[in-house]
Amino acid sequence: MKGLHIESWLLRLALLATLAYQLANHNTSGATVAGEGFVVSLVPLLVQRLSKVHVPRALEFAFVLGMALQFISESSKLFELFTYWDKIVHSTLVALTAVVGAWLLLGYRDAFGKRIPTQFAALFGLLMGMCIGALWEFIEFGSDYFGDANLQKSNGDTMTDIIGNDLGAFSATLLGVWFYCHVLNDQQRREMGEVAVWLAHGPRRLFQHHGRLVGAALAVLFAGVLFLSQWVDRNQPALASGLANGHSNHWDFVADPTGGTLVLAGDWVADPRGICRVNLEQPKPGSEKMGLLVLAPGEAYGVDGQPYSVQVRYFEERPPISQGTEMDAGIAFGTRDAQDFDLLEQSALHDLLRLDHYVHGKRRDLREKLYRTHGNEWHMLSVDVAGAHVTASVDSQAIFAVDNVPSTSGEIGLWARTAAATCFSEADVTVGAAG
Amino acid sequence: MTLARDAAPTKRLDGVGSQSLGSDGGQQRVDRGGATLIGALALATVALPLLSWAIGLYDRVTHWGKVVHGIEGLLVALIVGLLLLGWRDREQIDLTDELAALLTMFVGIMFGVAWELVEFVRDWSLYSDVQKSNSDTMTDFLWNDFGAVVAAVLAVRLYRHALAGRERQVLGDAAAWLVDGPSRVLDRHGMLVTITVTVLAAAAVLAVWFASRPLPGLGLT
Repeated sequence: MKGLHIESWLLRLALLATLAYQLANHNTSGATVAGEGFVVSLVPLLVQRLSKVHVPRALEFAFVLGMALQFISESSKLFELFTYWDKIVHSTLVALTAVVGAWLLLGYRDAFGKRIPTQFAALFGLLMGMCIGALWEFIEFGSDYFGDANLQKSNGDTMTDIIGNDLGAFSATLLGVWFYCHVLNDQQRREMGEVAVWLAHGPRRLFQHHGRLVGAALAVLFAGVLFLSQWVDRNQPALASGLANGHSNHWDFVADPTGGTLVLAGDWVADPRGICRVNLEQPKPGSEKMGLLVLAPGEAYGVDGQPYSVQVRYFEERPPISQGTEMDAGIAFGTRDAQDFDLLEQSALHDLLRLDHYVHGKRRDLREKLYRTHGNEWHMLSVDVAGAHVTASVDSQAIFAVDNVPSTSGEIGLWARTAAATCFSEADVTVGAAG
Repeated sequence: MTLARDAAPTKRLDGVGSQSLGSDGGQQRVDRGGATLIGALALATVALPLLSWAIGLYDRVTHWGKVVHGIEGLLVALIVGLLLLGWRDREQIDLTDELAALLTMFVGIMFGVAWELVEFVRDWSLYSDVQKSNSDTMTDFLWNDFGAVVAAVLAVRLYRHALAGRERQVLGDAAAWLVDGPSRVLDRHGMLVTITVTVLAAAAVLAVWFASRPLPGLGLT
C-alpha cells in the first residue's frame, strides 16, 4: 500500500462512478466523456512505466485532479447547469498547470544541480499557466469558428475566463512553490526532475535536429488555418429571385400566434404570451438549437438599399436550474435561408446585445455590447437597417451602430435559443423608416 | 537538498560589469550596440500606438489595429528575449536556448493578454467602446501571439549570431539592473508584496463585478 496514491485513485473512482451513473441513465455521450477522462487520468502511470521513474504523489494528484474536474464537469453538463462553473474549472486547471510547470523546472534544477533561481522557476510556471489558459481560448474560438460549438458566449466570457485563469495561476504558483520548498522531500524533488527531463527529451531532440522543419511546418499550418478561415465562408447564398418587396406590417401573436409566419428552424408553439420557441425534443443543457420563424414569408426587405426597421416585444423565460441556462431572443434579417442571415441577439444570461452574421450556420460576430436585461421580463428589441448600416436598440434606447454589415437584404424573422421558452407577443416592420 | 536560491548566483561570465566597458571610443560604440538596439525597440514599442492614434491610422487603414498588435507583440518579446538571454549568460543561469525562447513567447503572449485586459476593464468600468466583439479580441490576440512567436525565434538567432560578446554583456548588465530592484523588494518584502497584489487583484475584480450592479446589503448602485 506504500506506493499507492490513494487520493489519485479516489478521483479515478469518481470518474468511474460518473461513467456508471451515465450508463444507468442511458446517457451514452456522458458515459463516453467520463470513460475518456478515466483513460486520460492513467497517463501518469503510463509515464511511470515508460520512463521507469516514479511519478511523485503530488504531481500525479495535480494531474488527476485536473482531469477529473474537467471530465466529470463535461460528462455531467455542469458547465451548462451552473452559470459560473466554467470559471471555476478553467482557473483550477490553469492553476494546476502553473504549479506543475514550476515543480518540473524546480525538480530539474535540484535533480541535476542546475543554477536556476526559485523566483525564476515560479515566474516560468506562472507564465506557462497563464499562457496555456490564453491559448485554450484559441481552441474554443476555433471550435466556434469552424464548428459552431458556441463555447465562447461573448467577449466578456472570454475575458473573465482569462482573468480567472490569471488569478488562479498567481495564487497557485505561490502555494505550489511554498509546497515544493517546505513539504516535498529530496527524493520527491529528484523524481520531479527526472520526470521533467523524460518529458522534455523528445521535444528537445525534435527541435534540436529538425528545428527549421518544425518551424516551417508550423508556419504552413498557421497560413493554412488562415486560408481555411476565409475559404469556409465562400459561396454565401445570393438573395433568392422571385421575392416580393417587403412592406410595413404588424403582428399580434397573442391574438394570432402563427398568422403570416413560416417556421424555418426549431419548434414554435402558441402560448398565452404569444408565439414561443420551445424545445420539444428536450435537448441536454447546452445543446439547445436555434429556432427561426420567418415573418411575411416570400417578402424581401432592404432590396436596393431601401431602409427598414424591425421591432419585437419578447420574453425570455428563466429555466429551472436542472434544465440549463440559455435565454436568448433575437431578430433575424437579411435572411437567405435557415443557415445564412444577420442576427441581432439579446441574451439575458450573458447580459449582452450582439450583432452576428451567420454564414452556412456558423456565427461571425460583428459587434457586441454589455447590456443587462433579466429573464422573466418583457423587453423591446429593434433593429434599423439602411443598406450596410445597422443600428441596434433595446427598450427604445440605441445601444450601438455598425457599418459594413454584409447581406442585409432578405427576409426577416424571429430568432431564439432557449433552455425553457422565449416568447414574442408582437412585431412590427416599417419600410423606409430606418434611422 | 540545497535550493538554488540559497546559493544566489553572483558570478559573471568573465567578471565584466557595466563599469568595465571598453575605454576607447570605438570599443564603447560596439558596447553600446546592444543597449542601442534595446532602446530603439522600446522607443518603437511606445511610439507605434501613439503615432497611429495621433495620425488616425486606426480609422483610416482597415485592420491597422491588428498590424499594431502584431508588431507590439513582436517588439516586446524581442526586447524581453534579448534581455533574458543576456541576463542568463551574465548570471550563468542554466537555461537552454529552447527554454529561453519558450519563456520569451510566454512574456509576449502575456503582454497581449494584459493589453486586452486593460481594454476590457476600461470598457466595463468607463463604458468606453474599445473591444468591439469577441472576434475582434481573439484576432488581436492572434496577431500579438504570432508576433511573439516570431520574436522569440528572432531573439535567439540575433543573440547567437548577430551580437558580439561585449554587446551581450551590455544586455546582461541592463537586464540585471532592471531585475535588481524588483528582486530585492521580493527578497525582503515578499509576503507584503504578495498580500498587496492579492488585495489589489481582489479589489479590482470586485470593482469590475459590482460596476453598475447593486452592492449586497447596501442597496446602492
